[in-house]
Amino acid sequence: MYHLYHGEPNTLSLKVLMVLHETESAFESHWLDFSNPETWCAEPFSRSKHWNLGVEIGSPLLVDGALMVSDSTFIGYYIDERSQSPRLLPQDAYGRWQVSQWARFSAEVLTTAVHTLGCAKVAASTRQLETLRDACLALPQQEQRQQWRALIENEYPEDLLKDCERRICLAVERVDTALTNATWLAGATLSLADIDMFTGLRAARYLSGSAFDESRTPHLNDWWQRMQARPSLSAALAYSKTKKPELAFAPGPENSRWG
Amino acid sequence: MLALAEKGVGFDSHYLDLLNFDQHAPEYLAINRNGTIPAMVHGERVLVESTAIMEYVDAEFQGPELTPAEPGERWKMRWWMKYIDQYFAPSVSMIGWSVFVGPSVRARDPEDLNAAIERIPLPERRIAWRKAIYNTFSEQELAESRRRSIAGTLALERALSQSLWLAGAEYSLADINGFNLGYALPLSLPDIANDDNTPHLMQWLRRIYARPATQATWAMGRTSIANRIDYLSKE
Repeated sequence: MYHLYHGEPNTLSLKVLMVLHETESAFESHWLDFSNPETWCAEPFSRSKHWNLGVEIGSPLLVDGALMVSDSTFIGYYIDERSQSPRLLPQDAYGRWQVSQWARFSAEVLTTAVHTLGCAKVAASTRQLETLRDACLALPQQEQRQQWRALIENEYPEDLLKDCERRICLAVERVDTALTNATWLAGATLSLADIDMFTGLRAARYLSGSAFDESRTPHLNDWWQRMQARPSLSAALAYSKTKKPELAFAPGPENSRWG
Repeated sequence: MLALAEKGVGFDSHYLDLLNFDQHAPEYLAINRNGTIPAMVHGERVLVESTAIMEYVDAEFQGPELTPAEPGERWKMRWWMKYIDQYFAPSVSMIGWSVFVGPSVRARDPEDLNAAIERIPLPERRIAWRKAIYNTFSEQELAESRRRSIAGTLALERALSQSLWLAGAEYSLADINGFNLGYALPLSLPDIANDDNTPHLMQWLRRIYARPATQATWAMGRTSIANRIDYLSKE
């Protein structure tokens, strides 16, 4: 049985929880406070070099026997490929290429924007940030410390926040366009691409409501309703301990350093 | 190209000169509107982004498997490709662009250059080209890129001291991906990437360079960059 170490069901943790439920995979949930860097320094994260070095800073962690699997998107691939009846990865090469494309777009453009805005607009005003300073210094990787320091100092320049808003608008537009002649983002059925983009956009909707103008996104609206109705979403949201998972943000993947 | 060569898949090559901005010319934008390279046309399909194209090539065509069968090794392959694409490569290439790409094109007519930059479709790429051409990387940015390049080099060395290839016992897409960045490390970071300091990395580079697919692909190079890799044929 898998052990999933996750935070509140929002963004990256929500993605993996939905995948586990869509594939009907047995797992034990270990809810942790991801909004405290002490969690990041403790077991099991301290034992996973891939978790600490990984591009997806603040990823949930799936433990399968001796293997520690990190990066929410690749946890999804792993779970689906290990499941008795894989269903979230298209069987054909082109469908898989589409999933790959969405995964990279989500990781580089949307997820980074969501975590930045979430920290700036929500986490920065709801935590006693000064109390996190010592734990931040104990983080093993400089990239992790930089992301936490930005939150503690509330150092999010206005032009960065504007660019994050732009990227969320871009993601909304791209999903709507992709769904013009398709029911799902990659292939004929629900895939990891839909879960990837939906969990990012769901968090974005709380942060940048103006990016979501339903009158301009008829295709996205229909897909959104179908995603909202997935039993895997309600099952995943039930792991919330705060009962406000949409307000749970912690430092995450870095914004691109240049171009 | 390396993935196609490993699989033994024939293809028509359309060479683009990056420094001549061929990738932003209308005829190429008609194929890939983002103006990024490479792009691969297969029947009606247009595929972009090298890592995703490699996965497509491996899944679509007959030939040696370049993706491990075991899910844990598959995960490791994907983890390494993302680490290389999104952490390691941007830092190594920032240094490369500041010392190579920028100076190579900066001497051209400023108005022509500006017009060429304005034709770049993606705003992120316009910013990247401007910074490279006019060398506006700060000392701090370059120092951070050097730090990350060293961290990535040592991460590769550690991984290759534990298994023959990045994902495990078999050669995979992660090794192809890593080689395209890794071959430059002994040239750009000679004090870090060398036989004394990173012996497993150096042996790995030599093993990949000796593969027939790599030899055949490198023979298609048209610039002096292709010759700079000859050091890998020597022990």
